[in-house]
This record gives sequence, structure tokens and C-alpha cells, in this order.
Amino acid sequence: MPMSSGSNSHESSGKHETLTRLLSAIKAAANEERVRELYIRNILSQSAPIEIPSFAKIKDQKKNGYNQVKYNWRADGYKYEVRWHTRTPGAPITEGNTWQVRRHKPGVGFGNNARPPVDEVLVKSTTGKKWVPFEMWQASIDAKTANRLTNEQRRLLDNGHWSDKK
Amino acid sequence: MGTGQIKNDFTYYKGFEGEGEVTFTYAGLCLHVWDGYIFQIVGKPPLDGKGWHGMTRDYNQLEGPWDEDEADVDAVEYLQDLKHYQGKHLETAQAEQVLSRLIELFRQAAAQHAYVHIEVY
Repeated sequence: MPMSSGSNSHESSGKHETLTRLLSAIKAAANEERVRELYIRNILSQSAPIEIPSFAKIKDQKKNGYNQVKYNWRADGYKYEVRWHTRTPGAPITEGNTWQVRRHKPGVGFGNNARPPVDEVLVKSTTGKKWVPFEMWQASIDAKTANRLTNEQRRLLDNGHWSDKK
Repeated sequence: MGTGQIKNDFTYYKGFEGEGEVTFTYAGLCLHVWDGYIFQIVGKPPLDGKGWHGMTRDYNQLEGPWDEDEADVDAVEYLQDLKHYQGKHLETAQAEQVLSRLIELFRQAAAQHAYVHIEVY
């Protein structure tokens, strides 16, 4: 026996409303995502310590207790990696959003011209900015975590963590 | 890799939040490692001209996950490479522990002829 057309029409209208609301929510989420993407590419990038090209690849992530955005691109034989993150768990309350800049030049493992890779971190210096070996950076980070940081290592870490406030 | 929930192990990243991170995922386990420990293991490669393999090659030549930010890598090749560092004195005891954990993870994956997913953050 056919169902009454009134009941069908009511049911259909309800489904239509649900779908419309769902569609609006999807559009709003997509729009929000697009706005964030534009913000990251065109506004946030402006506060970085080095110029980030418009073609940089971007990775936007929610990490364990903080947010991180990573930009990377290749230029002049180097791969540049610029990371921005919000205050991390356990960091002093005064610590704000932070930039770190690193660049790598691939090494060569085979043949007579074998050479090690170049792996460097950008830090503030008395003359502006300078690149220091990642080896020094990671040793300082390790010392900080183990509570055996020297004054020189503390200065290095202070100079390599850039504020996003210009 | 199974489709169940992934168990995250932050033992070798805790305290390094905000610094570079590499994750190794296989068989429901995701091992989070500070990239300084990876540097301490493979960051000073031999310069004898014989070529690099596995993680030593990918890390130092910026290939695989260190090129594209993430990739599935051949567990057998990575295992063979990492074994070369066994018994060598590394900069920290933690790096030696990470090496042992990685060898175990890649050994399990290699036994299944499987890939391990690596992501570089």
C-alpha cells in the first residue's frame, strides 16, 4: 500500500534541511581552511627571519600541545626549512611564538669527490645574521635538556629562536 | 601495516618539543624521535667514496623522507645500514638507545618484507 504523500513530503523536507545544513558546514570548513592557508602563505610568512618564497611547500600541523607550520623550498643548491611554532608545553610563560631556520646542502657519498652534507642553523649575530653548523645547535639543545647548558650554548639557542614579533 | 589504532611513543622526543622531529611508523607503533638523535647516528657519514645506503644516504643526500617530508622506506635496506653503527660510540647514550629501538623496529618490518613509514617534521 502506498504511503501518504504528506508523510513523504515531510520526511523529504527534513532530509533536505539536514543536507543543506551539512553542505553549509562543509563549505564553512573549506572556507576556513582556505583562509588559514592564505594567512600562512601571505601573512605569517612575513614575520620570518628570512624571506619565504611564494612557491614554498607548507605543512600546517597540530602537534602535541602546540601548533607548527613548516615551510620548505630549494634554492642555490640548498634545501631551506623554516619552522614556526606556538609556545611549547613546559616553556616559560614569557616565551611566545618562535621561528627556526635551517638549511641543508646534500652531501656526496660516492666517488672521488665525496663530501659531507652542509647542515646549518640561522642565528642572530652582532653583524646581523649568520649560519652555524647544526652540530653545534643540536649539542646545545641536548645540553639544555640535560641541564648542563654553558653560557655560550645558551646564547646560541637564544639567537637561533626568533620571535615572530618584528 | 595494520589498520588499528596507532600507539605513539614519545620517549625520545619528550622535552624537545618545537625542535625537529622524525617519526617511524610500523605495525601500530609510531616512534617519535628528536632529529638531533638521528644526526648523532647518521649525520657524520664516511667519506671513503664507497657510497651511502639506507638512512645514511637518505638523511645526508636529502632523499626519500628527507626530500619529500614523508615516505615508505625499504626496511631491509635501512636495517642493513643501521647495523653498521652498532657498537660504535655515539655522542649520547640516548642516541645509542634510539639506534637500538630503530634496529628492532626495522628488524621486525624486514622479517615481513614490509615498508616503514617515515615522516620528517
